[in-house]
Amino acid sequence: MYMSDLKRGEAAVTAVTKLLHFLSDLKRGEAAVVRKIVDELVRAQAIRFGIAEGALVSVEEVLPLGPVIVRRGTMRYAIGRNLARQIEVERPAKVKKHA
Amino acid sequence: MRKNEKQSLAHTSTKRPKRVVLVGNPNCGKSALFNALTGLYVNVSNFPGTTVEVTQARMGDYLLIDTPGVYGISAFNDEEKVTRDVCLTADTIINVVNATYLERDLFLTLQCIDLGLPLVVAVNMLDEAKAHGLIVDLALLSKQLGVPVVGTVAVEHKGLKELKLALKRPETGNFGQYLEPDITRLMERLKTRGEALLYLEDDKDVAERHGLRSPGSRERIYLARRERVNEIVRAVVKENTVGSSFSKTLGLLMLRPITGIPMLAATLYAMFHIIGVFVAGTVVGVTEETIMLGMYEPAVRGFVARFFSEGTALHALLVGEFGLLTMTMTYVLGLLLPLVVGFYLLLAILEDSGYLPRIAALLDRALTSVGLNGRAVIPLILGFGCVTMAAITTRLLGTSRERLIAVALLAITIPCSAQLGVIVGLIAPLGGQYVAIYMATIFAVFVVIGFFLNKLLPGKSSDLLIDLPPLRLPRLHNIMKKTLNKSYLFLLEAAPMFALGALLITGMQLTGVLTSLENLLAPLTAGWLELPKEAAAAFIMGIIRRDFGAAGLADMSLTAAQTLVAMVTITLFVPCIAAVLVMFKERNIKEGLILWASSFTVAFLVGGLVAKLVI
Repeated sequence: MYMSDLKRGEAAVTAVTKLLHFLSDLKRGEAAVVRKIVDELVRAQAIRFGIAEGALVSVEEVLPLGPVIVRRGTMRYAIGRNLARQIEVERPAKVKKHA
Repeated sequence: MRKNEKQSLAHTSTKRPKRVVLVGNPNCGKSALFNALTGLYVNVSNFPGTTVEVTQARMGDYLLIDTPGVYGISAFNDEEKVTRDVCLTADTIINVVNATYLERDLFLTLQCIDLGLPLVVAVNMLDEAKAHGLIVDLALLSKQLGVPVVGTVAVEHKGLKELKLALKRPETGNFGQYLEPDITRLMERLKTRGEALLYLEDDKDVAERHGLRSPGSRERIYLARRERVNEIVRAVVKENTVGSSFSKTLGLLMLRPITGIPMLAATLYAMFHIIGVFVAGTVVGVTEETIMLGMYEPAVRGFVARFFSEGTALHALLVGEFGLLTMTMTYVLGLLLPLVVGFYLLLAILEDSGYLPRIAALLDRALTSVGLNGRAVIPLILGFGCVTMAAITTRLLGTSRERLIAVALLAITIPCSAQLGVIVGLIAPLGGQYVAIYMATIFAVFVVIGFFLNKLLPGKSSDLLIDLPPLRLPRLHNIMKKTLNKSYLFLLEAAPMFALGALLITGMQLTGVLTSLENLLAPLTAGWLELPKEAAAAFIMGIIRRDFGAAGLADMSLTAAQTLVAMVTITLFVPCIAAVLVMFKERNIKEGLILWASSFTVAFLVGGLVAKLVI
C-alpha cells in the first residue's frame, strides 16, 4: 500500500518534470522561448542582454557538463550549466525564424 | 527644473571645459573611439574611492571622459556606479553602440536618454555589421530616439568629423512613456530627472541619498524598455541572409572541448615560447647582458667612482651589489621591462580578438570545481601579467567568496609576468622533466587551495552569464597603444618599489643585518630547502617584489634541482607589496594578512617537500 503510493507519487513527479523544460535540457540546434528566470539580479541582467522572459533563443552549443551557448539575433551568450538549470523555457509549437 | 539644474552647473563651472562622457557596452569600440578622438596624451586615473580607471583627455573645448564598459547604469557593480556618477556630472554624453549588437546596446542608450542628459549616439563598427549582412537605417534610428545619430568606424577614423559636428547640437531625446506619470511627480522631489530615474530603477545609493526606500519598479521599467528596444531594432535593422562565416565557425571550434582544448593549449604554448624563450632569452640577452651589464653598468660605476670612492656607503648605495643605479636599473629596464612589454602585447591581442570570453566558457566547468566560474579566467590570466592589477579585476566576480578564492589563488600560485619571465628563463634550459615537475607542483597547489576554499567558505558561487563578442582581427594601433600604456604604468609602479627594495637590502648589507639574517634563516634555506644560505637575501627582496626575488636567485649558481626548488618556492612566495596593499583594500587587513602568512607557509612547505624529493 505504502510502496504503491510512493510509486504513484514518483510517477506524478516525472510527469510534471516532463512538461517543464529547462534551458539545460535543450540540445544543440534547438530553439525555445524563455519563460522564467528565478534569480532577481540574473533576471535584470538578462533583460539588459535581451534574453528576458518571452525571448526566443536558439542553442548553438552545449559544452559537456559546461555552459550552454545561446544565440538571440546576432548576440551570443554563454550561460553556466547551473544557471541554465534554473531558466524555464518552452519549446514553441512551430519555430519561427527570428526577425 | 532642467533649466535650474543647467544654471547651477554653469554657475559652478564658468571656466571649466564642457564635460563630454563616453558611455557604452563592453566591446562596442568605445575606447578605440576615445583614442581616435584624443590622440596619445591621455590622463588615466582612478575614480575617487575606487580602483576603477577613468581616462580623460582634452579635445578642443571639451574634456572627454572615458568610462568603463557597462551594460546598464545602476549600482550592480563598481564599474556601473562610476559610470553613473560620471554621467550625472556630464554636460553631454556620447553613447557608443556596436552596430552589430543594437539589441543589446540600445538598452543602455534608452537608459541614457531616460536620464534626461543631452546625447549623441555613435553607431560604431558599421563595417563589421555590413560583413554580418546587417544594414542599419541611421536616419530612422535618429528619428526614433530623438537624438543625433552618427555612423562611425573608430579604428579607421571614419565618421569622426561628423561626430564632432553632432557634438555641437546634442539632444535630450524621446523619454520612455513607461516612466510616466511617476517620474514627473518624483522630479519635483528629487530635483533632477536623472536622480528620479535611478530611484525608480531601485538604485540603492540614490534611494539612500534621499532617505527613501526603493520602490521596486526596476523590473517593470526594464521590461518596458526592453520591449521598446526590440521595436526599434525591428524597425531600423535590415538583415540580409547571413551565411556561415569563417569567424563564426572558428568561434564554435574554440568552444567545443575537443577542438577548443588543443587550441587553448597551443595558444598557451605559443605564449610560453614567445615570452619564455624569445623574450627571456634572445631579447633579454641583448637588453640585460649586452646593454645594461656590458655597457651601462661599467659606465655608471666609473662615473660614480669619480665622486665617491669604493667602500663608502654612498658608493654601495648607488653602484654596489644592490645599487640604485646598477642592479635596480638593470633589473627594471634590462630584465623586467622587455618581459612585461612582451606579456602585455600578447594579452592585448587576446583581449582584442574576442578569444578571452570563449576561454571563459570553455573553462567554466573546470573552474566551478574550485568555486569559481568561467569569468575568473580574466583575473587569473591577468595575474600572469601583474598580480596587483589582477587582484583589482577580481571585483568583476559575482560574490565575495569568489573574490576571496580568486585573490588567494592569485596571491599564492600565479607568478606575474616579470617573475614568470625570470622563472621560465631559468627553468627552460633544465629540460622538459624539470619544467613538468614545476608546472605539476604549482598546478597541484592551485587545485588543492581552490578545492579547500570552495569546501570551507560559506555561501554559494555565482553562475556564468557572459556575452561572446565576435572574433575579429586585432588592430595593430590599438594593441600598441594598450601595451605602451600598461608598460608605462608598470614602470611607474615598479621602479620606486625596486628602488625601495634596493635601499633596504643595501642598508641591511652595510649594517651587517643581512649576514645575520642569512645565518638566522640558514636552517630554513640551507637545511629545509637545501639551497645556499645566500638565498635568504633573494627571499627578503622577494617580500618587496617576487620578481625581484626571482631575479636575485637568477644570479646565484645553483644546481638544476636547486633551481627547481628555488623557483617553486619563489613562485608560491608572498605577493609583492603593491599586491598586498591592493589585497588589504579589496578584501580587508585581516584576510590580507592571513593570505600573506599562508603564502609564506605554503611556499616553504611545498618548496621543502620538493627539495626532499629531488635533491
